[in-house]
Amino acid sequence: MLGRFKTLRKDLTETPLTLFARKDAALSSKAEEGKAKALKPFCDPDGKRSCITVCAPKAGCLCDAEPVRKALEEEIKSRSLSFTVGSAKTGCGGKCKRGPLVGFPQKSFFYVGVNAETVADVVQETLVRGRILFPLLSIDPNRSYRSDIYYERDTGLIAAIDENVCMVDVAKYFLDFEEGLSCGKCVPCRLGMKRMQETMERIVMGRGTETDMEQIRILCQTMIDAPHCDFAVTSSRPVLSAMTHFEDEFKAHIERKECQAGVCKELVELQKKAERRQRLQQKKKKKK
Amino acid sequence: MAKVTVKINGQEIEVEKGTTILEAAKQLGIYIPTLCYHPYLPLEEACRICVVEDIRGGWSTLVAGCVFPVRNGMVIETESEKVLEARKTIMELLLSDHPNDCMTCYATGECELQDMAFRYKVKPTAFESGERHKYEIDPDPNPQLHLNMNKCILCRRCIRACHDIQGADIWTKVGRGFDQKISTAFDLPTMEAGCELCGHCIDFCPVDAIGWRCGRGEIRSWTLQPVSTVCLQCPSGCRAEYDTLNGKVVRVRGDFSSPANVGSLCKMGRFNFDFINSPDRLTSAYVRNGSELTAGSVEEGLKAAAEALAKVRDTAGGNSIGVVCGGMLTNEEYYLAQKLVRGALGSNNIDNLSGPWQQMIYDGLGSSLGLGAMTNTLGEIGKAGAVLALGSDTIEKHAIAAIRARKAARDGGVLIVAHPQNVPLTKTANVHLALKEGSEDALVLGFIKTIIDENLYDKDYVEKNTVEFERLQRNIEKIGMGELAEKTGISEEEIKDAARLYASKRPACLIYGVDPKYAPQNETFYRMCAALQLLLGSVGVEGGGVNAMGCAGNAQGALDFGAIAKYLPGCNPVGRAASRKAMAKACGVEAPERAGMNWPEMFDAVEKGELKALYLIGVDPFELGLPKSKVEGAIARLEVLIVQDCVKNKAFEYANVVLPAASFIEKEGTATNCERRIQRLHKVMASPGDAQADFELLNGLIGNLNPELKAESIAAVFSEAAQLIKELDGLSMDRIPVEGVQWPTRGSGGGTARLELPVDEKAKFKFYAARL
Repeated sequence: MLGRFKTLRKDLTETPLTLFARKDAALSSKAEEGKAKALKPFCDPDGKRSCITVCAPKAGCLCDAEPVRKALEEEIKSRSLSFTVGSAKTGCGGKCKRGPLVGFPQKSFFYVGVNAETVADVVQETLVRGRILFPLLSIDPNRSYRSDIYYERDTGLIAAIDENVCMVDVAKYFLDFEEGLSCGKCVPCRLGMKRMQETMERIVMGRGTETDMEQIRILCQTMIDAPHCDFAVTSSRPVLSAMTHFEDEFKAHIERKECQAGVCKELVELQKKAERRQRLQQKKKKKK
Repeated sequence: MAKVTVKINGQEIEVEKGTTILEAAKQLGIYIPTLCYHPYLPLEEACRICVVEDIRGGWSTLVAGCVFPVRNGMVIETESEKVLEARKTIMELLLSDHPNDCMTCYATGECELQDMAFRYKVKPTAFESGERHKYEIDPDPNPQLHLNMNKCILCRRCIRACHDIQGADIWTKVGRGFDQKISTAFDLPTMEAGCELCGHCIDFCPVDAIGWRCGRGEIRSWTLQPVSTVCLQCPSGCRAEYDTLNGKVVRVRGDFSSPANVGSLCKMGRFNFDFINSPDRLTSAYVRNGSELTAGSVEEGLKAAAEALAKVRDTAGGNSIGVVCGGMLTNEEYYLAQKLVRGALGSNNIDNLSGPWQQMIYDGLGSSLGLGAMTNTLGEIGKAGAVLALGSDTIEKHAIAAIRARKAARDGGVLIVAHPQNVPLTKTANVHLALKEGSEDALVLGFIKTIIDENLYDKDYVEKNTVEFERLQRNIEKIGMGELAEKTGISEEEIKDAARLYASKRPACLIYGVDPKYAPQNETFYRMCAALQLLLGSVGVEGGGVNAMGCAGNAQGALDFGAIAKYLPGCNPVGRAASRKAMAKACGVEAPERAGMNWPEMFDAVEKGELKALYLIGVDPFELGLPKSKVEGAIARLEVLIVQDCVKNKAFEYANVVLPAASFIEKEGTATNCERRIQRLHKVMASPGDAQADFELLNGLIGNLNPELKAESIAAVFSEAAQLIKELDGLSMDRIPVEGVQWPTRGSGGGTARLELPVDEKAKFKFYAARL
């Protein structure tokens, strides 16, 4: 997940970001026509995954995916480029309102709502010049429909987290931060947050029990159901989200007393001790 | 009001728009638990224990029942699984930061948190290892409040009570999150923060975080039997619930069903009950034998007293005997006392402690407004647009009026306080006029003059409802503003500014609490108060009026029931033959024509040797504000001194006969408060030893002196008096409702809350000439 973001960001910083405008594009494309060949290709046409894909519609599809595919193929042909147009696996039932979808699997982003008229721009700007056409990019201001990014407008937070970060620690970090910010008026927020933080502390210290996770879930539920204002709701969300999406990490903390990311100091100490003991035992065995 | 229909737990009900779910559920008899909610406090919704499920189509949400207004077609579930789960978790959370030492807690049995935990079967073990607060127990030197903030559940009732009921505003929330606590600004000790010792925070605290000092470690709540009666320590006539244990009062709480105080009490009413519990309570009668007082039965005491009085009456005449009643007697006792004096002793020398002032209120207001008492109710003061507080240190002496005045100021009104000292009420006042002692009359004239000069008065009202305005107008011109400024010690401009401010908002409400030290002993002052209010068009309207309050508990009752030298019961002048005749007809007492003495005159007469015998009923002569030497000299010259009181007072040593009386909470009868509300007293506990109610003692004395006048029962005395008092319109005691009735009553038993605007020419309000 993070890797994809990194390459995308790199691309974006290397090629200047401009919002797509037909007039400017026409002007600049003429001026840079000579240099275009010198540009680094947008993607590898000979790669395992195809450079550009269009969703494969089923019978009775509402969107005109097939004309878009044809237009794309023609456009690529007319420019004598070597890209082949693949078909994207979308699992579309034929009722999608956002289609047709044009994907770039090697770059991990996709366009929605492409029509035959915009195909020329897609090929010129994205495939040739490597620029993203933002108006076509699929970003919903309210909620992402990608399951791997948890994004919600209420929280206003996208966290990019790699393997070196412990999710339990992240959840605890949020709670530590929010505990002192509760106004203290209603019980679910004032005491709920405190008790949740204490429970999380226990888990991080390696003293967590199985009931603790259930305890946190109940507290989160109460803080979502019954508080006075949205503060409690939004501050319990990251915790709940971390617990649902990274349950295994929590369980590892509680059951096996280990922190895979190596962040929780107390657990790391425990892990080290366990390893040392194992090494010693192995040595003893060898001696024998 | 529009009506909306809601469905709660499957039952439909139609309620007014804007009703909260809690109120609607109450109408259906459905219980919704509450902690931070209190019906007599503004809404807060801090605890969230009252959450109910609001079901809307496919989804549902939890809303706080105590504040959420109903919507048409709303579907509510109060005990669904989601609700119960949330409530239980909230209770677990609350108990996780609570000491849970119910075994030794003062509040056990009356603790709302405990009840709630019991109801939802919540144990305090859910978050056992969680951090708990460890505040110091009882860190505050406050004489009445015992603080243990570890028990606090942060419902914030104390903050609201202190702000919205008392207006002292000392409690506040400090910090946020888990570290939040209830404290004063800058964590000052409560007394330094401005605690007025009203005790409302204790009364409202659902647990024992802000608790009672009285009875701590002695009482268990279920052993107490609270009885509600009227407090007679000030003329507000608050109903209070007295918790007693083994013949001792342990604590006092306000009675929320009383319209006079609506649950509030003052420092005196709540904490001043030591005289009832005092070890100096008189438990038997004493009769002087030579130089020694020997204890004896009450009958012997009564006999000795009657003999002594009869002896003085027969030798020196009835006019050489004086009777002074205290301020904490019931109406019937005042009536019996005046019957004793007028019927059995043959004089008019009867007075009560606040008599000289109450009589002036009657004379002044009666002549100009036609109603010789407080014109509006205490509750209405809170609805005033502008309040002018004159006279006593209102928070101390007439607290209920003061807290209502503060309420008016809080609701956007103007509060002007005139008092020589920087009294607590000035804290919330817009203007404080530090006038010279006893110069209220000049200040009121200054207000009147400014209002007339600057044409700030309500011309339509004056023309329509009053007569003889020109008289005042002509007269006031002669008085110079400079003269008034000099007398009050306030600059002319200040008086003018205050008058403009006072006239800027209607209705204007004038509070005058009698302070015996400075109160003017003439009726002109009250006439001028009435004139000021008439100019502002604020008499006969809600939230206005002249609200003059006496200086003793049942001052109004004493005047109405005739315990005053100048008036027979019903304020019929003694000097008028017709009223004496009416009295003779009603109860067979032929009052002498010769005017009697009020109590200051009596003490003068004793010094001159004109008065030979004094009968003090619930009066300590050394606490009257007279110089000690004068009182000592006077008492020493008396031939007969009969002291009847509930505790051994300083006159005990000088007495010939001492009669043990009951305190006001040990009596039955009725009392009239300053807003003319007649309320019934109830016997809270038995009197110690042989002590008897003043009624019994007076009746016994009358029986010994003139058996014909002996009363049958308290109710009979009340009915007899009601015949003479035209405002009561033949009211009988058992027709007085729990909340009391305000005279003038109408035949059916309904009272009159406030003086109404005059309907005919004759009843128009009258202006009098100003006099300095």
